[in-house]
Amino acid sequence: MLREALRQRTPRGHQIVNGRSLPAPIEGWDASSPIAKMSEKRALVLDNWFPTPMDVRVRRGFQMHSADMGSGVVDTLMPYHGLTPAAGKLFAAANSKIYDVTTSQTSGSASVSSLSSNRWQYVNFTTSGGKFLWACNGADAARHFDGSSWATPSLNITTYSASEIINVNAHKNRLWFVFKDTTVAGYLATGAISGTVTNFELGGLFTKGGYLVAMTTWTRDGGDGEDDLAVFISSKGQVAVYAGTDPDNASTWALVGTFDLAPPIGYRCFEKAGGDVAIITIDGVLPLSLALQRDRAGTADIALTARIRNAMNLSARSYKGNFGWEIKSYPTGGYVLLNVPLQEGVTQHQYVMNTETGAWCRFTGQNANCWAVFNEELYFGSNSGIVYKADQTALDASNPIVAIGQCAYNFYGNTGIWKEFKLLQAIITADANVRPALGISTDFRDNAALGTPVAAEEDAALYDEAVWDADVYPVEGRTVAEWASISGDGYAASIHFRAETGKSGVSLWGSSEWGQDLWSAPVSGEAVMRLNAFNMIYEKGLVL
Amino acid sequence: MTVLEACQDAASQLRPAQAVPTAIFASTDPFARELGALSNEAARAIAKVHDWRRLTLLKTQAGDGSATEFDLPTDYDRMPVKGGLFSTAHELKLEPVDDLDEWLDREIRSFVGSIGYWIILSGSLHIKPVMAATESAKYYYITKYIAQTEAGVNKEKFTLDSDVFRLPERLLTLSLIWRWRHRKGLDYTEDMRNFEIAAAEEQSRDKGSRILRVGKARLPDGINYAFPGVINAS
Repeated sequence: MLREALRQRTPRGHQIVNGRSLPAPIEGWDASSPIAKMSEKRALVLDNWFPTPMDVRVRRGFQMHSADMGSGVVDTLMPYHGLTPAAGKLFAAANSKIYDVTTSQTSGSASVSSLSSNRWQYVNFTTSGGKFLWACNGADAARHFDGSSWATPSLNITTYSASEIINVNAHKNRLWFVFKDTTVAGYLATGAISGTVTNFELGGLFTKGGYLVAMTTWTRDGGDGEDDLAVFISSKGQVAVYAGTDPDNASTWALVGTFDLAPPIGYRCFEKAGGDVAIITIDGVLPLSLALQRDRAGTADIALTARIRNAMNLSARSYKGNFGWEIKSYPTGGYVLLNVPLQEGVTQHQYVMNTETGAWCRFTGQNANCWAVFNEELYFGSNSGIVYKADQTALDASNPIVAIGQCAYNFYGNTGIWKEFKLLQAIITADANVRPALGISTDFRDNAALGTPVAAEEDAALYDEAVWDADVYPVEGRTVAEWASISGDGYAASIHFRAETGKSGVSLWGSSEWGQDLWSAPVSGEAVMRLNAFNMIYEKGLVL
Repeated sequence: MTVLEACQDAASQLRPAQAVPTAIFASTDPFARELGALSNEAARAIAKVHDWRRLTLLKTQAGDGSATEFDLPTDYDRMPVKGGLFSTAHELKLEPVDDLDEWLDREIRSFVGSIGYWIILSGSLHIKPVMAATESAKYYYITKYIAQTEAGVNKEKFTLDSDVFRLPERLLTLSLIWRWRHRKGLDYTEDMRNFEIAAAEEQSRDKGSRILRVGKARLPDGINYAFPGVINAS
């Protein structure tokens, strides 16, 4: 054949493409690096993908824990830590009541009624008389729970009232209070949960004005000991640090210093994590140990949120007035989450940091007003009178988890060379033959066209219903490495990936029964979707 | 075999391996869309490379005593490489005018030939002189309707997954393989060779007019048999 003969003499037909492997974005979400010079291990977007040192995996979903607390938002979750986990209690404040939501149920029972506010601050405190949950909200008289019942402590307060206590902290075996809209703290006798409150004026230290927001205990050795410091923060970001045990005695109680930080956000601005204390400020989440060593202008780099600085600043600027800002350390899950209320009582996101690697991601779809860790499990109060247990299943209640990500733009080793991107392979570990939808955008344009994700077997077996040797079992740890056709051209490309869990129409991985409640039983029901690496095939072009 | 099945056959043979698409023309998946576009391009190329008997149709163009310009069939793609126009009024083929200047010359001089002549111009078939109402011209043409719906209606291109290729589907599958690899910058030499061998086989079996073997053996083009009728003993 003539054409055949001609083709034999020409070099066409041979491979002209290059390949390049990329790791999954295990360094997490980056909202601070220049978009054209970002590490290939980081991501421009990482929603509902959680970065671990090994891979990037879809977060677990949440399950309903307790409902029927009215239609109002759940503003507070308060765990009571008993002697044993079984003696512990979990309380939720909603609908002007406090409910016992310790056990999973569809109808919560009110423990305290006729309240003015649901926004409580609390502390667990042990005395010779037992273990107490001591709570205040700045509107109602303070309350405490002794393991069996709630009561109103008898407080002998000068100038102020028990309903003006807006924050509480236990420091050196003593309860400390913050009076609302004042610069005055108060404290009880050691080991007391009621009695005479001695006022402690801090106004002289707060030269920038403002009011006292919160107090915490900062320990530099991770435990309760003599080096514990009392830390007070004002609404203007001024921090007063005291050392000592007895504020009544000048010889055992001394001011270490006052420091200027950025203004804190909300009354729940402190969270103890390891040997440090994190503070939510409008400059980011700051570790106290480092923040006190430098001026406010120098805190940007040492913030825990330094890597997501732009997103944090934008959220702080836009939403700092909303209720719902909170940090929660969740050691079981290996992360710390920062609750960001985009719209109070409606939409909240969480900025989540892997405590092992410092890598960030963002959780969406978990609209939470408040968080609590109770018996090593994570709970949150929703905007509609329901308490959910998070980090559980392959679904968010009954909805699929939509996880999207976008890797950093990559020039593939040649910044000045135009390229045509042809094929992309995601190497994942999954419990079924699934893969996320893949696509690319080029040259910093949001022009990705995502492919269709591959779904799991339609008839994957249900736990406790499957028949051995007959049904298809979900297998944990199956490696899937299918290629996906992509198209795009430019100097740099950014990989997009998107996965949905559970059963909800088309274009889902994990369709049908896979990922449903029976199979994804509490605790064990993880939808396994771990992204390990990418391989890209592209053709190098000319310098245009 | 539907175009979906042809694409699936190709997809399952493609390397590197991808998920075999479950839909083509309704899909938004880039791979499915690539296969959809390539399947139409491959089908057109297969149809063009050879005068397939399967796509060859006879057109009868009746005269009306006045018209010299006639519409081509709606599904007209081209004439066969060796294709003439025959008239019921003449024993000889009508004369094709290949040269535009010659056609124009004949127009200006109002040339009237004894057996008539024709040209395809401006998307129409022109036959001169005027055919009488009792006269008709016949010619073969290659249809551009290379696809067929599930209900058997012919169409120009694939638009539904259930559409069928009117030519051998195996060629479509093999063509898709090399074209996709070519598009992705991968080595496609062997895949293209496979396709061309298969295409040559199908063409030789088609018995149609072949591009490189035009005409009948040992007879010059345009020769008519002296006596086309039947000799009866009586």
